[in-house]
Amino acid sequence: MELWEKIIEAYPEINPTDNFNKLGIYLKDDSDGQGAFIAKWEYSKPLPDGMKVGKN
Amino acid sequence: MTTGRLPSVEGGIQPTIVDAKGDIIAASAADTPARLAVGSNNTVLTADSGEATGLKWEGFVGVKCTGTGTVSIANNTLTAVNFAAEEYDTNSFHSTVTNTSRITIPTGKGGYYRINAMGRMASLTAGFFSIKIAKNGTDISNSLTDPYNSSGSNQITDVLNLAAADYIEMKVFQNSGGAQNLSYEGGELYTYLIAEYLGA
Repeated sequence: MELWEKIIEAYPEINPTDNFNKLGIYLKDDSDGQGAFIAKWEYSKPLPDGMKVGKN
Repeated sequence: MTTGRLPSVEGGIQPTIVDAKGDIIAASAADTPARLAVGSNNTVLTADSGEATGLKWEGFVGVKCTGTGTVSIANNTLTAVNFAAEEYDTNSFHSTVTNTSRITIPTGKGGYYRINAMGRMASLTAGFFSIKIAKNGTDISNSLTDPYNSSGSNQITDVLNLAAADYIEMKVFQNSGGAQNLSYEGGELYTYLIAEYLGA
């Protein structure tokens, strides 16, 4: 499951076609083999359990 | 005017200092004339303190990064685009092995660069498609197309003042609701990143 899908699973009120950036959720993938990560979290609700800002 | 060998007196420059059509006389130090051989056709004379005469002949300087096939861009995820090939790379700006998303400014080549990034997605039926130019990991230019109803291209151009070791990348964002393929080529080149040196 992709990172964006995990976020929607935690917060079902978010639609897949919503612009996450406008919700304050910024996901990035530096294409360095480490995969997608949360670059910034300014959503109205806290980070889902087990997630953090920055690369793993 | 008469040309020919001058008497060997202090201050005279012997005509034998030049050897060929197009050679010029420059200074390698104070009071020290030296020959600079003519450059290749269509090159221009450029100041370079690292050269013996402080001058060199130089042609086009730049890089065009490309690839083949497609790369998947996850939904709502700003993704750096890797480039596995180059159409040209005059000064080792890019590697096809390490940090393949990056164009890195080599030592001695700081200055103004025209950056052009272009990308194409096969089929977007919702959301928008954005291309960004990033400098040293920070997004600085953004081209956004909204909404998309079919395949199409997006392009952005900027002129940046870059120092040696600075690097630029092309990043892509889309929020169609699922992964989308960015196509490098399909008989023609669809996705590329260009850096063209304009001068110091």
